[in-house]
Amino acid sequence: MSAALTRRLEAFAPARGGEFARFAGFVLLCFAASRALHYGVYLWGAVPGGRSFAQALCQFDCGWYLHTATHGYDAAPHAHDAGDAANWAFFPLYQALVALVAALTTLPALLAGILLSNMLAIATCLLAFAYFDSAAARRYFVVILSFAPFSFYLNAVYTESLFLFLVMGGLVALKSGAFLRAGGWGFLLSAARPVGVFFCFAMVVAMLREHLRAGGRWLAFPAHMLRRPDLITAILFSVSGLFGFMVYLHWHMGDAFAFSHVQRAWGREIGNPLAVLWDALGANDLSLFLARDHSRQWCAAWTLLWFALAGVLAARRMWPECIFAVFCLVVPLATSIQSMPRYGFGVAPLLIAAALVLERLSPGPLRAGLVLAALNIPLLAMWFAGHGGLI
Amino acid sequence: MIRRLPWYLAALMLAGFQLYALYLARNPAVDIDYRNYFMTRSSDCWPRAVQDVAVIGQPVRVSASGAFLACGFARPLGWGRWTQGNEARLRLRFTPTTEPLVFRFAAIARAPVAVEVLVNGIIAQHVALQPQGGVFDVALPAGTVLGGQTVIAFRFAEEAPPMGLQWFALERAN
Repeated sequence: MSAALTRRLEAFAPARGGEFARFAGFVLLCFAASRALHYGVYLWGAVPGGRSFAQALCQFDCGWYLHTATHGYDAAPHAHDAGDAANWAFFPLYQALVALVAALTTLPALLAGILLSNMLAIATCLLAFAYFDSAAARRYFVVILSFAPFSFYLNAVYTESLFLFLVMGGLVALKSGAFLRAGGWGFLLSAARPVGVFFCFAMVVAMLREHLRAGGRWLAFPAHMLRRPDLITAILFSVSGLFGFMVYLHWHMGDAFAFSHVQRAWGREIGNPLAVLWDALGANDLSLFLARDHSRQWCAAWTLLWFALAGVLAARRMWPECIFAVFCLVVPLATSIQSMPRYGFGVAPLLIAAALVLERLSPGPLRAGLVLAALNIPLLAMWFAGHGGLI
Repeated sequence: MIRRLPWYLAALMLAGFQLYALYLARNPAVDIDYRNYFMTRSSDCWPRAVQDVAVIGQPVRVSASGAFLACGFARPLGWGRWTQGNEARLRLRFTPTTEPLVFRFAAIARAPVAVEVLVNGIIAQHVALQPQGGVFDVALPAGTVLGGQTVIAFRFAEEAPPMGLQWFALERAN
């Protein structure tokens, strides 16, 4: 084992080795319980078409991820009624990892993706050990990832688990002032999802915070940055995943912005996020959700909850987390209210805020887990049944 | 300064790479259909590839088949399909012939609507479509008939009600 690796392991788990082992045991217990719950709901629910558990977990965009993992990126649009949809909207990192896991394990892409998502979700929880100072908060964080409404996305072939993992890794790096390492996490984030690129703003805010803590002044910050080319490199590197994908798209099919342009096939176009939210709140279409269809009001209610959690981050002056969370909400909201419940669940700072709220309320991990699971079960049953409102 | 130099160079390389990506983004290598539909959004019509070959004299019911529908049609209903947007296109391939052909179609409307029928991008006929519908003939130019392929477009004014296409056929004119 190299000396560097030994030092890193010692830094992570020296005096807290026993505490970490207990925490890891708690994580595994929660995940085992939640996956057993998922399987129980699958057995109890009426899954159409006699689909297997893995197939029932694979709904909607899952098909796009599997298609990309097995066939690569499309040369031309081919899907949807209008024939105008292509997989350029889906950033490459998750599908590349699915293909890698499938190749290494010889599993079919669907099972490889489910395995990958679960491993990443567990790894996210383990990173919480390094992020949270409070033992209670990190346990609530694990409970949320295991049992909260929409947590089933972490058991499916979706990018939520990868995105959560990368953001937690990046936040842990920012917390320890390791900006170059944070740039590396940012690079992966910007190759995983379009909004991953906004992690660079969290980095800048964290750098500013450190500058101010060291006695620096606001106005001196730009000059300070110019004297620190390592920090500039970290920021530029953190967005390079996006630029790499753009170059690939140009050489593959001719349009570097195809990931954005193809959003037309999903009816998405940039607008005023406040107007989108306001219209959705007044849509009065909640009954559609009960009829297994997309409800704008349902999505708007969840969006308000996500913004409230971003407010918790602001109240606690967790500015890097808050800035990143707001970008991750506002940008997709500007295009449509659809999918906002899922997008919000995939933003780690919002789940961190929820864990901090639960820590304040202190219901205990067991009671919190039971309440969250009770809320999640109906959604999970709807997911297995292919409920269009959960896309 | 010497210790900082590699970092400045790294930053410069990354910035250069990103400028290169933006240069590519400003200079897309795409065809006019892609540009009009995805980039400028000046067209509502994505011309998907059509592989089928039409048989002269054999009607195509669009409720049963998506063959020849290039763009601008909604999902099939029991009687046919509604158009979507300001334009809907059919792309027909057929065995070239020297005989004069007409494009015949049956359509309905939700409300009276004026339809421009274009053959290969040129307006060939104006149809005043009523809700009860009707059957219409559009003569195909001799060059089209000899070439064995044609694009038929139905064009509507902004905010016009949709047309419901029931069936169409290539028929001999005589």
